[in-house]
Amino acid sequence: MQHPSRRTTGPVASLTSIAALVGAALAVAVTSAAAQSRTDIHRDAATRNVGNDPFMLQYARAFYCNLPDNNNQIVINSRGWNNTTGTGANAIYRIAPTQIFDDVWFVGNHYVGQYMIKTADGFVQADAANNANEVATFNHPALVQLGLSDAYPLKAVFLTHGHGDHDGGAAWLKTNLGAQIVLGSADAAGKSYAPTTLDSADLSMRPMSIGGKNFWVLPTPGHTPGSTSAVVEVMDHGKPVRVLMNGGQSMSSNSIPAVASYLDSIERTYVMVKALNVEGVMTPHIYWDGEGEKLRQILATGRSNPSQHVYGHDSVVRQMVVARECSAAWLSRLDATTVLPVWRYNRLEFQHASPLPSRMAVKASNGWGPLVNQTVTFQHADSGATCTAQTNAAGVATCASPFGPFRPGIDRITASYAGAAGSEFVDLPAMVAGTVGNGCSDLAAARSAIGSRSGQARYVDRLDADGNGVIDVRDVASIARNMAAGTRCS
Amino acid sequence: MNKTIRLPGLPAILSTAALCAMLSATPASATPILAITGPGSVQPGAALQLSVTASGLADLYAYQFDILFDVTRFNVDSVASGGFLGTAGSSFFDAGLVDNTTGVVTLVFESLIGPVPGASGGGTLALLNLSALPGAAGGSAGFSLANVTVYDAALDPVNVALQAHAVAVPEPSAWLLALAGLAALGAQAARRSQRSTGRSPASMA
Repeated sequence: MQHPSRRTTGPVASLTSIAALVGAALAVAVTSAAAQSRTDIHRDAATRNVGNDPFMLQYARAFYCNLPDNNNQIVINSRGWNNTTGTGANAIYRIAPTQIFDDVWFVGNHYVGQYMIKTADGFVQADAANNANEVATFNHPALVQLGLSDAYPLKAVFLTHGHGDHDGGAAWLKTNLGAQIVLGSADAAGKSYAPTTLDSADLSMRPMSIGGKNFWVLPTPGHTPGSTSAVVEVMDHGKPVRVLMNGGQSMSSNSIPAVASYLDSIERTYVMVKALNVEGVMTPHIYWDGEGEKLRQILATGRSNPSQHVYGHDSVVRQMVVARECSAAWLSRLDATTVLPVWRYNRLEFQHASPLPSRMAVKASNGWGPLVNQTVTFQHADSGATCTAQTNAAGVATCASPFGPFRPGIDRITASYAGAAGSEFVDLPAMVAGTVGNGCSDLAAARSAIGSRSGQARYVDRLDADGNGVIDVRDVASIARNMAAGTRCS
Repeated sequence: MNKTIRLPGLPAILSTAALCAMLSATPASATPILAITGPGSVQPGAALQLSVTASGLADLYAYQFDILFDVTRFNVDSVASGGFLGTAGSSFFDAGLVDNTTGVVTLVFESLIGPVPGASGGGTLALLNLSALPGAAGGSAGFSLANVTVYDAALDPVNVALQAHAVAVPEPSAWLLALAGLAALGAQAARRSQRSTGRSPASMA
């Protein structure tokens, strides 16, 4: 394994050396965009769809795009962290059993791990490690420590796919702990542990009870023929959260049909994530989307509220759009005849002093700029009353006519954009919901941002009412004018 | 003796009438003025309050400015709203950020709230509370406005003229001399009082 040079020993330096490789790859992406090959168009789109999220840029975008970026080295490097014994030079990459949700613990290393989910009457585990010795040495003791017993058994193991670093310990878990092993049918041939299969040919999302735990499963061939993604609902500080387990993360390096399947699977995963309002991730290869970094944060400072694994629904959806563009980029490279439209992640953001009883305004934009002359629909949650408006040159749609009056702090307004499809772009639908306010919070936000300029950390785009790149008293006044006369803010 | 009253001649009457006419005629619209006003002098170590005042305004909705001051002679203790904008309705005021190292109060701003007409006429926009530094050198300390933006109720910019202000701080020697002079005067007054009553001040119950 090739280790980039590092100033300190340990997994931190090695993991953070990824940043240097990512930077180099992005530099290539920027300069290559000018060439405008289909591959580069999609790589550029992947970057644009990240938005202002350096964490996603460093991890998810880098790893989903590692092949079209010619940056596979970052994946090769990560394989050196796959310690299965707890001994040897790379033992430092083992991760102690770590609670990530109220009812979920991670066990594994910085390359690949498993998730132990506690249910009402037993455990369900996602994936089965690299080999029997690893599950016997690490997973079994962890389960015992968490309460494994005859009355509280390991009921089932859900396998994301049939590769050895995911099912290596399945036979041991079945033989020694009696766990049911569940695997996509297209990966099941020749498996010694005779898994219970789910039909990989049925590409629909469907509920499935695994070990008494409800899963939404979605066959996602591409990484392997039998890869299966899933969504489960777990508890985070007493609140239910739905998390995604991606069935298989890397693409084939040379198979056009496999990459085409992978692309299709990512697009269907996007649909699933949106439909189920997924907010978090539990990915077996934790280096891929930054979960390794999240685990290090939990180990260093404790689990936050919400958990570090709650990325937020918008972030999870955006990650799938980035993955889709990276897949399209790689497929375009392998098959020059492939011409795919670019998926654009769109965002709606309530503008200053909105929604108010008398005014609702949202800005619609994406990584390419504002959405112009598009229809936005505002709807009052309780009454269902609607108002539509067209976005202007700045991407702002405004409904000035009251269809209220609405009550600050009580009524909720939803703004939605239905999306649009063309030969070059697919503008994805977007939605935002907000509680009618009196504007004081926006004034307070403007006070904090006053004097800041575009590009600075304090600058907030939605508060820049006149769009001149600086937050000043004219923006404050623009917010204030749309509030009710006589409103007093502390 | 009859006192003769000389009446002004016709030219003087006419010139006076012309002057009265000029003064009473509706003036051409003048540029509004933002000025720093207040006392012209202060003793070292004493407190001082200056005002940022406005005059000649029509439909003022929002303003923003920085205040520059002599950091070798004064510290700014606080900035407060002067209340003028609030005469037109509820407002949102921010006292800005005081830097007593560089001598700048940055980003003092205020805006009315709601779709209301702005304030017209004149008044105090902000109050500047200062302390004259005790050991400062004597001289004239300047106060001025910078980065001024003013908007009317349509959020159109309003041109304003600015007026700065100077506050004199006496030289320490001159100040001590003045104190000494006052002390001498006080002592002299006490001696006069003693001579007239035949009693020392201490014996006066």
